[in-house]
Amino acid sequence: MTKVINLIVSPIALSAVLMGTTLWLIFVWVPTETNQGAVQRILYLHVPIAWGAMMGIIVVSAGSFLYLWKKNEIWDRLAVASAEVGVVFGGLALLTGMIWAKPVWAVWWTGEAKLTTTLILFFIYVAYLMFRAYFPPGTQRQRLAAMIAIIGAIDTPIIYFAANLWSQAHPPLITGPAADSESSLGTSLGVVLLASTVSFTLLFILLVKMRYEIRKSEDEIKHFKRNHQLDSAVLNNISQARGTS
Amino acid sequence: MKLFNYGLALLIVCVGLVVHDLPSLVLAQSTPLVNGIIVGIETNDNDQLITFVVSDSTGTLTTFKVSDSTKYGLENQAGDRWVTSHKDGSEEAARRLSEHQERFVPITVSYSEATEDSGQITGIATSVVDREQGKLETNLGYIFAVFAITWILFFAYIFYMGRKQKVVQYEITQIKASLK
Amino acid sequence: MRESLAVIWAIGRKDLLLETRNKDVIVAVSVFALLVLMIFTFAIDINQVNAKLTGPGILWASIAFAGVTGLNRAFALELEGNTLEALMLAPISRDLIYAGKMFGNFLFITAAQIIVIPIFAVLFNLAVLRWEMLVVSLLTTIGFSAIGTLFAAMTIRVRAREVMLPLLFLPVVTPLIMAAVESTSHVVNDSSWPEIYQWIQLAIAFDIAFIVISAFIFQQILED
Repeated sequence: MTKVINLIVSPIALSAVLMGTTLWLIFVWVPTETNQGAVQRILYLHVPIAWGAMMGIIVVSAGSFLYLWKKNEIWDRLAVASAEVGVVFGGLALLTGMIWAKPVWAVWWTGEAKLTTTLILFFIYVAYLMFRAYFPPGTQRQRLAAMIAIIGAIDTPIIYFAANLWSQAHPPLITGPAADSESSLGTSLGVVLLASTVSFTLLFILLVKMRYEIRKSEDEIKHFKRNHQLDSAVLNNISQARGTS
Repeated sequence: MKLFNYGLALLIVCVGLVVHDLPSLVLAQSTPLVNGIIVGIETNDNDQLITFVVSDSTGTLTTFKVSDSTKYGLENQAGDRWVTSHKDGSEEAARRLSEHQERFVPITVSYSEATEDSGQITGIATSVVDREQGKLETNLGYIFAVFAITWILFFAYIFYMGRKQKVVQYEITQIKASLK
Repeated sequence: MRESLAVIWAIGRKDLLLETRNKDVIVAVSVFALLVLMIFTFAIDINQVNAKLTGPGILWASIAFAGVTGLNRAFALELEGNTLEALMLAPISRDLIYAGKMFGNFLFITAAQIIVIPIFAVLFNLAVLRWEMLVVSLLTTIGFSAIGTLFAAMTIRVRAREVMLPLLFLPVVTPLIMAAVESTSHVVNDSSWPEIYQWIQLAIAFDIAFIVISAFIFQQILED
């Protein structure tokens, strides 16, 4: 019985219920937007996913900063977990955005500031993860990776500023079928977007938590193996020393 | 295992909703609407649109007045969509609508403040757009693509984590065995 | 202050002296950049009409790619001779080592540009040799060498270093490349100074931000 109750109140179940509700809201409850038509429903997915990607960057840089400051492994694990989940969210935000842009803006991709910024940041954090994969393990890897994450975070406003200035100099091609249309939905749009954001935030937290825990177990196994080998080596030495004396 | 249960539950909910509610997705509407073709247009001396009359499939006529906040989303024959409000394009609106009248292109009008006077309905148009039905059908593929890609990627990531977890679990059992 | 400058100069001069003996980096960087330029002249049929449109982008793309190869090479040399350890043993602070290495890289990329930009002007038939171009190229090179030195030092011990450095370097310097390309295209279009200046401002902000950050974190990079 307690097992059932635990399952019901567990964050995973909560997230599943929320996600289901969100899908119901997106597909059933909210009316179709008149100017963009059905494709506007993509935004209920795209916006929260992009928000998740942004959260990823914030958590990575905060975790990296705290790691450099406190030198506690916890923060490094948090940073790498949210970097990975953030890259997944970021890639999805780019893909869903492109699929939305095709029918609405008539192009898959354009030099709009937010798009450019997202793409560049995506590449920076992919490079962050690759750096971690290629660098020999140890505290130096964690330290350098933390620096890269912070550099990426500091670069973010500069990239956005540059991309913005750039798109002013080259007005992006946004002349598609419903480019300038305003929403005909008003508050119901906000309700669905809010619900969707809440459920994707929860999904983000859950994924980060799972990744964090796997990372933690991996680290602990590594530490254990190292210590254990050391112990057995010491024991061997002792027994050898006894044997010779 | 927990991860997969969660994933499976989500997948079932997602697929179920999409299959079950596809018709309502297509039909869902927000404000009172009239679908039909334009049968009459009235403009003032400056060629600005004042009222227009729409006939729906049953032949019922509805007269719409326009206000500054009326929005247009109208395509020309080439399929280029023109989107603006009445305030910024009242002449162009008259031109486009008369072109729609000539081509018998169905439009969708959402309206407010409807009054009925001896069977004649009059309302103030809030938006005048090319009929949504066709667009919905052509664009459902995009929605499908987005939802499919999103969930496939999330599940792929969860699967990747599940495999990592398996490796961890295996190593833990190995260590436990070696300690005994 | 004078002592620090002397240290920076000494490190830079050391790199330059090495370079004059085997000419490893500058030749490699300029030839690479020229090759990229040449490939672009074939890839895009350059004529009077599109040269102004595409030229600046091609110029800075080639300099950025060539710059990365040069940075890779510069640190590979230190690694081959194990001279970085020797540098770290010297009784000077780490940010001076950074400044010295950055100065050396700055000299390399500048030297390469002195060769590449005139040839670019000839190939694309563009009047880029103006004093505004000097400012643009100076600021961009400072930014490239600031970020490049930092990342090159970070990636020294990475497996597949030659791949990792561009992967880190290029996305981070994108705003700087945008600024360089835009201001160069203003230069070739004979725009007025205020129009160029908004991009120059961006480049200055980028340079300052990353020189300050690099000075802060470079100390920690070389720590073991």
